[in-house]
Amino acid sequence: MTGAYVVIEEGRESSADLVDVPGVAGLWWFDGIDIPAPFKGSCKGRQITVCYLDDDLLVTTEAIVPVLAERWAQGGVKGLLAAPFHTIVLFEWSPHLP
Amino acid sequence: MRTQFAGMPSDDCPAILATGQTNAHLIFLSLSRREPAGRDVEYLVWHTMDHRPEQYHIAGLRHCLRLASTPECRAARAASVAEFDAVDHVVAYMFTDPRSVSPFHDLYVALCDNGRFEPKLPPVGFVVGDCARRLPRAGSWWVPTSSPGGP
Repeated sequence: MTGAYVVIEEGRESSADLVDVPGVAGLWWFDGIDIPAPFKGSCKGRQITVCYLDDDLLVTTEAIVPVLAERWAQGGVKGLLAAPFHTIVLFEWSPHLP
Repeated sequence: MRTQFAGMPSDDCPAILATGQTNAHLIFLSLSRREPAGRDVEYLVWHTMDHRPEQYHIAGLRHCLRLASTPECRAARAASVAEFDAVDHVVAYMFTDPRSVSPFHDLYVALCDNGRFEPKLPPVGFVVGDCARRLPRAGSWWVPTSSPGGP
């Protein structure tokens, strides 16, 4: 695994199309819920998708972006955060920092 | 460099699937900014080597994935509204159910009260959801065998 592409959206729609993007090994998507106590707040009405990547992070990101653009253009969901992130590797702390 | 493993993926093999399925359904995304004084590495070492093993005392915590953004990652974002724009670090905790989150919070408080949670990353927020579906890629099963960014 090289990293993950994390998508947080307003609305609800299948994320299945993203698994066909080259470099996406698989994905899980989640319906937002109330944040469990003792934390406060709610994520209802939002959707989380985590794409697990096994190819170059930025190359895969370039392939994901048009799929998201088309998905958002259809109006069913609105992107709040759609971003690639590197996996932190044991004992290799420095290469992937903000 | 990638290595392809022999045989079919687990998700395509009924005999493997029959041995059990995960009961991790709840994702708890903990979103943070970078460490203000540049102590990100110090934080990552502590969180990975000390805190994460200890968190598995919590029965309902099944997995933890730590992720970090770089300037290149940030520039490649397709969406980043003000609420989430400051996110530099992500931890994706997987729990069995909402009841497991309370002891997770209690551990955080106990560590803070005893000087064990240092340094801290400034929080951006939490996003929590219940698993709707898991989808593996169809076909071959292989993994990168060099570190991210490596040869």
